[in-house]
Amino acid sequence: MKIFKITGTYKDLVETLLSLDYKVIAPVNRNKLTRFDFINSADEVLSPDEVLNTVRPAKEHLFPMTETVARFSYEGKKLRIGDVEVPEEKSVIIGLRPCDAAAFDAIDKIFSYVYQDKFYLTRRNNTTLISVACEHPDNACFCTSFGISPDSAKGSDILLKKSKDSSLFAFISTERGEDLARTINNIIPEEQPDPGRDLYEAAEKNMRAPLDLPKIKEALNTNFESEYWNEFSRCLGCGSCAYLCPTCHCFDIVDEVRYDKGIRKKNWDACQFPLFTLHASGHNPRDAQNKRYRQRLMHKFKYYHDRFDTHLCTGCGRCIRECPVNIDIYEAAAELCGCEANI
Amino acid sequence: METLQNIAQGLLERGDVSMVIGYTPGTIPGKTKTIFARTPEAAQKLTFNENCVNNLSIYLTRQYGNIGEKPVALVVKACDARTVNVLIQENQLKREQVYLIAVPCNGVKDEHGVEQGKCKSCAQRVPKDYDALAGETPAPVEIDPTLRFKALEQFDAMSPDERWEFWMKEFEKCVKCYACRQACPLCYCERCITDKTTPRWIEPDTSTAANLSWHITRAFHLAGRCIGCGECERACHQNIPLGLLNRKMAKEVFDNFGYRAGESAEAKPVFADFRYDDKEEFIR
Repeated sequence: MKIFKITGTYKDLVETLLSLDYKVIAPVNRNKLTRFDFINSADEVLSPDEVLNTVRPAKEHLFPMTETVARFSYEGKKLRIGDVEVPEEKSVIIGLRPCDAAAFDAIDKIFSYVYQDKFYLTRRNNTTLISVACEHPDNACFCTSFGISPDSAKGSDILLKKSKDSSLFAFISTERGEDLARTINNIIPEEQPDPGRDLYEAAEKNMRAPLDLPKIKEALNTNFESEYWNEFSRCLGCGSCAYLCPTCHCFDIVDEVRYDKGIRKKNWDACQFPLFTLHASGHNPRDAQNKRYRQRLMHKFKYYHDRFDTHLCTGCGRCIRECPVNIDIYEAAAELCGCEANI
Repeated sequence: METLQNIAQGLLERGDVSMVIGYTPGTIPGKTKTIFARTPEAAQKLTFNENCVNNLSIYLTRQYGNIGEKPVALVVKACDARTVNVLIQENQLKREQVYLIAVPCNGVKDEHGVEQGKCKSCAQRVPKDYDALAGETPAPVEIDPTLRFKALEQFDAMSPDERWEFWMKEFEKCVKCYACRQACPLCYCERCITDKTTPRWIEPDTSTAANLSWHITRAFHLAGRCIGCGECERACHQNIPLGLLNRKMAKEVFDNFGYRAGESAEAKPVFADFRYDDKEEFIR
């Protein structure tokens, strides 16, 4: 970890980025929706003081909602299949929160597991993540449950943090971060001592107490058939949790064919939908909504951890904020193992 | 005066209902969650306040499997009760299968304190038809009936091109999660048109055109049925003003047929009815 001081404001930094040979993605409010989007001017960017966490995470820029993965055509009976190339474009995402940066770390594991997903990985390797530490987490945030904190550098190439006197510092953890930092003239190339984490220690104290993850996993190991899951029959199956989650990564593959030509598309999907597990035979192993919610908790706190030794949740709180029936994953996990939810 | 908890407790003690579906405080200030109270003790957890936004009638639809031999008690605001009426009109359940506990409502707010659009034009403090009233009958209020379609004025004043541009910008945001459908008590189709694949009527991707075909199809399917509870718009985290589409359809139906969805469980649904004196030639 290298620490450098930044001259000027956050906005100045965004302006510098725009002058470089990168596509810049930052939090914006477009049409009453906070999201990460390409920007052309620093004026349209929401400052970290204006938004804690965007409604839509930055995930869609590495793993788009809809993406063509192959093209095909028929010449008579002969089928031709064409590959789709992913452009090697350098981009930088600035303004992520530590939870969102850590989320990319988590989903890297699945996209580079048995199959190397070139679509995700090419973008990932060409994207530099500049995250911003949180001074004011809200009552849905619980990143500290996952070894992250409001000023955690996990997953970030560069983390921006403030000292007690509000000076801005860049904490650089990767080569990719260093490469970018060298081209930014707002970053003074002289290593600094750690300015401390006074602001963030204070922020951490207001957050939900960390979950007991080993205890939750133990409870998941033994309670697959528990009556506890009935509690979640109130779930509407709207999938908002999955679609707004920075770590949910399931997709469906469909072919769109017109006459003798077609494209194969990857579209986001979610385990909260009945169709997700509906077999061609008509049988559905997850035939009720509470079973589908159980799957969500299992995948986040058990299955992914079994396979990759990491949890598939970073405590960003989006699913808690946006659930129309107030299903709170923190409460769901805590109460499963008989712990009180300290919200 | 009986309290909500007392009514619910009595019903469960006597075994009149299998459960009471109502509200209980949520995990975040300003949010409430649904509770399925099956025991007299659980009835004490019931609450009603201005944050009880949800339309709980969704839990009466078949997919939730809550309707059994015994009636189910449901806590309803006036708007929610109108949805129950539509469900009865459309043969999704029988009136005697549900025990309606009415709660006097002065309008509800989301967790950010924003009053719901539907409340601004609502003069109905209690449902027309219910089995028990939790609290006192509130004094009637008068509200200008034209407020109901007020939100459409600005929209109707736009040129077709402007309207097209407006909706294209809105639909661009859609992520096709179908939360609008899932939160809707009247989207109870066992197989939604968008889930059908042979043939595929609506492309599943998130291009603006594919999003448009979804939202237009849904608006048409709710025409004359939607009571304007606003759950679709509330569930939409992308802030797409879906209520405008439904309200527009409601206005068309009201202007043409003088029909308002959910006013009575006995009324014939507008699209299942006809008149000998219909103004259109083709239907006579």
